[in-house]
Amino acid sequence: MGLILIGVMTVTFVLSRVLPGSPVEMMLGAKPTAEQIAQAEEELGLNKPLIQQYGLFLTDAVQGDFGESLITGQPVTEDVFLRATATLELVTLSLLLALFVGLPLGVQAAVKKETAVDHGVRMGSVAAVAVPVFFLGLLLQMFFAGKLGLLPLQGRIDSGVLLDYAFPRVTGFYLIDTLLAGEIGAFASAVRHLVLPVLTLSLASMATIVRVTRGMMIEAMQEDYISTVRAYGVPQKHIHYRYALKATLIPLLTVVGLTYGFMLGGSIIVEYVFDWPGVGGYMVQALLNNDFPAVMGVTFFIAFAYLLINLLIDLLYQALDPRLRQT
Amino acid sequence: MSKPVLEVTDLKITFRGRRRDVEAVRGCSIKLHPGEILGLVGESGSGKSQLSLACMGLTAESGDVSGSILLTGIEIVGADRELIRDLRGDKIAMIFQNPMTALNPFYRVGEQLADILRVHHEITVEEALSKLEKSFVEVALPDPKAALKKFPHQFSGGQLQRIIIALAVSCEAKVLIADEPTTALDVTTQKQVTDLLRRLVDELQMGLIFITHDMSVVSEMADRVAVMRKGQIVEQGAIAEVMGNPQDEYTRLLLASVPMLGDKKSNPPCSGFTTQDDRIEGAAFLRVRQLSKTYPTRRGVVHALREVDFRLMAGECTALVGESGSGKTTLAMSLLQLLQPSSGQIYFEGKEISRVERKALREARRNISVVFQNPYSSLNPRMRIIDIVGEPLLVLTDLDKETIKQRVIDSLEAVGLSQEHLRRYPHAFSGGQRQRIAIARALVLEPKLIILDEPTAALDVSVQAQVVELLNELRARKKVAFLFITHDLALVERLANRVLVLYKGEIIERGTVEEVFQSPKHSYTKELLSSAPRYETFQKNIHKS
Amino acid sequence: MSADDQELSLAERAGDLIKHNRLFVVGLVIAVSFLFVALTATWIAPKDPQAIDFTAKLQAPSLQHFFGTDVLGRDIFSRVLHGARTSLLTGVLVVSLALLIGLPIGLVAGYYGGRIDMVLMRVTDVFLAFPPLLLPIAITAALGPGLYNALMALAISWFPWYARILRSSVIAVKEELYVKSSQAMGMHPIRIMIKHALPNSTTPVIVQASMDFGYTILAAASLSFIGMGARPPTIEWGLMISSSRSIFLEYWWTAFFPGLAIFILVWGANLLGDGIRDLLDPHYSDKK
Repeated sequence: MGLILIGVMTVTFVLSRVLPGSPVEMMLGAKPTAEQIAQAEEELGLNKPLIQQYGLFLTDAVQGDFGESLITGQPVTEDVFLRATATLELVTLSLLLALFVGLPLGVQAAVKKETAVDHGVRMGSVAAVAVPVFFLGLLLQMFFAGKLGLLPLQGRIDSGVLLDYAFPRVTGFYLIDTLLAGEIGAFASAVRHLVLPVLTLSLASMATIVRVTRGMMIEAMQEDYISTVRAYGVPQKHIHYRYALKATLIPLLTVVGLTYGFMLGGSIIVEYVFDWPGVGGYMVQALLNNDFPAVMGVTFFIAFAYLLINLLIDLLYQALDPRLRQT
Repeated sequence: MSKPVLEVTDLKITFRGRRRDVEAVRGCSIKLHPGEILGLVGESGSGKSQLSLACMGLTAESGDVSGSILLTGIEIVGADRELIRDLRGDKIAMIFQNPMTALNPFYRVGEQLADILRVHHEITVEEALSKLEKSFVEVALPDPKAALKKFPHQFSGGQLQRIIIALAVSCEAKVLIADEPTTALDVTTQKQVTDLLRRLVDELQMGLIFITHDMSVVSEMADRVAVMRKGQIVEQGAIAEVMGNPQDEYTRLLLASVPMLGDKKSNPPCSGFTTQDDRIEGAAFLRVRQLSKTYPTRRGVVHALREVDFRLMAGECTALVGESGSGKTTLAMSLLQLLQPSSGQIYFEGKEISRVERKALREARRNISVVFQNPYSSLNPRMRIIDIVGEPLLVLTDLDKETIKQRVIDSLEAVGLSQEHLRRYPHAFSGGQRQRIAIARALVLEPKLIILDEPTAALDVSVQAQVVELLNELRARKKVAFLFITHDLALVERLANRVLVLYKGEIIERGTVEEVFQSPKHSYTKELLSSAPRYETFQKNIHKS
Repeated sequence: MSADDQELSLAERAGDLIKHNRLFVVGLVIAVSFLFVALTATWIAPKDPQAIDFTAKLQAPSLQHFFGTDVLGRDIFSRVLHGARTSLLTGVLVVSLALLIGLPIGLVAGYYGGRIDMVLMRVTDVFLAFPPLLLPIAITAALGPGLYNALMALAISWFPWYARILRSSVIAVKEELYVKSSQAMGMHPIRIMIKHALPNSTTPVIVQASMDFGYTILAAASLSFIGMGARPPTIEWGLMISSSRSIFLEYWWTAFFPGLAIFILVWGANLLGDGIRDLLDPHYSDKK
């Protein structure tokens, strides 16, 4: 895994230095003089040999130093950490929603295979996957915030609320922190702001989880050992919910990992649409403003987070599958 | 005679398909009494599996079942599904063909079996486990208490089969259906399982339907036999009657096809060649010297081959006998230069071919061909027959297209196929035909040696006999040598002059077929010979009642 | 045991599919319609999609402008029709390019195994370590925004998947006896790869690619939406929605119709992909 990490860092490096489109010119704006360019290159160390740059980059990266953002002027790493919990809250809740809705639906579709319920669920999920994330966000905003005025358009919490109800940032998760501080008004506001972004981010993954769960359940049902218990008179319900389900849950873990990754990528777009103060939104701002160090730094951190998740899942997988336990 | 535990009357099963209906079972009737073993014999597509599934109420939704099945007096056809489900695992139980996948890998053995028992009886987990432990003892499973706590992947195939049998016994079923329970097991293990079943049937007075394609096994353990073909029972009766005096054409064909030791009628001694003394240097065209192959694995080093040493004579058929894990496949792969030996040499017509580059191997490759076991895997599904059979000529000779085509046609005709098959694809042919195509491909180079790795193992019994006949005929005509790898001793008698017995990578016995079979020296050889179906035992069995 | 009744030919199965699977037909119809639109947009679009007319700006849908007009007075209906061309091109180019790069890599890695395999797989692992969308975004940022850069970025991010899928397939096919047979004949490895291994291992990749078609269109639209993909004057649905971001609350049609177009095309492509999968890999159909 360490090897992959280095690979990821290398890719990031390659992207930032080797490809055409000098970051210097982008940073200095319109028509810099030759002197200005030379000076900037000197500062950024861009006139050193490539290998040396790579070495510097790696040593910096290992220490978590990705340079300073061109917009905020702060170290990129700091910027990312400030916003990390906002994104985590969004992604985690979306994942939970996708699982809590998707898993039972998928199981029911498998159990009631080829009935109206199954067909309806399948049609729904094929359609849900086709909706562009940003379009869905805009639609929800249009309808719930615009027409009905029920839910807020964007942001994470009402600014008024922030002023009125101060609450200490313990975990960085507004839902938890407001509850801990006992500020129900702030809590309510946080919840209201979470509804639309979470719905937007989770829909496509929900649909995928439905399809995959259904598929894996059906496959599990066709295994030989299921035929055995059926031959010995075990009732269908027992087979579905005890044996088939258990066989499905373990490989589902891998899907959870993939979904988390998908959502990490999708959060970039959702945060942009809903003005959510997370890492994704920061990324888009950086992109639009050619803030190269920021873009590279965020890329690395998101990839890193994804790798960690997958590592965790691999470990869990090992622990749960008896066939892998004793080798 | 007591009341039958299972009575099937005029059973018909038809499957509705999108394009047409399939009549799997066309009016079958059987009766099974307690303490009786009925052998249900048939080849693939005969409907024997569907018949047994129907007795368990497990026919698929798309099948229409008519007729009557009385299980301990209760009608199954058209009955309520819940009622039938209750009967399964209680009155009737099943043993499957593949024990390795029959149990749930995520649960411990004791857990899942106890689960099943508790579906049918109001007992606690402890009571169920103790019942299972007793059954484990009955089936002679080593260390029963510990076995309950283990996972399925920790057992061998034979042990798993015993565990399933133990489950059936614990259920106190009156009818037991065993669907090819020994096909996936080693020859030596097979006998243990069939003996066990015979004993249990006698002790517990169950009725057993033993489904198989192997007539000799049936003759050993069954009381009565029913022969099925294309959904119908063509002949049914006591073993002595059906096997001693078969009335139906198909039954006679099946009986004649099963290779048995000592069957002088069907196993004429190989004609056309007197075996040469292989100790004379220079008489052999293929020489294997001290060949060894080792593999490093996680658990240490595996010795697949240990200093294997032998010679092959021109025009002879040498049989290489070994079970799974003996190293026979490794040996075949080494001879074909698909594997590099760890030490030792292989000489073809005096020249070494074991550690040489591709170009130098051309001469050897032109003279050594192979026919593999699996006719479904040995032909590229996306190539036409003409290309498949012609490939060796394309790769190893410089002949032009017309000549190649002619040679291909000759080769196909030699194996009983014809020119009209040239442009077709493998999926249009049956297993037996595909194997013929593979043989044609092996012949087209007119090689000196053809290596045949269990070429009939995957084929139906009636087809096997045809292929064996073809091989004998070809050898006589074309004067090519065979290295015939198999575990079936009766086949060895039918085909080979000389035999080498391979056990755990070593050749433990060698000689002419007569020498080795009449006076085996090694204990393993003796064991193999005793497990093989013998003609005289067969005659005894069918005349015993 | 005749095998004729066991295996239906591909054409027969396709016919069956069309007759019985209504969703597949829907997908087919949608795909064909969009293809038609993409090819004939220049002729069937009622107005010039680039024609700016400030007097007609931000008009609601009407008989003159079926989908209304945008902030520069351009006819949205015509723009949506032209956008089909961009999106279909995206799908085709990205998938084709990814296959072109990924297939040889997967083939070589799967057939040769050993160190070559390890090296190639480590490299693809690095690409696969990035969550979807992240890598295309980063690559496009480095190359500079633009439709073709975005397409290349997507293809570069996608090919590792195909390489992996083909590799697994090839590893299985490698063990087939017809491959061993040819090896025993001394056939050259490259010939074996092309004649035996490749034709029998492409099915899972084709299945995946046909299901991916819709997703690439979504990804490209997303990139355009955040300003990393198509740029004016290219007409692209994601870009159209992006430009309407500040005004869509009041003028809903500026975002709605392009978004609807994306949805329908991707939905149709997915249905088609599912159908192709059912056709080529019948055992898979239960996994759906």
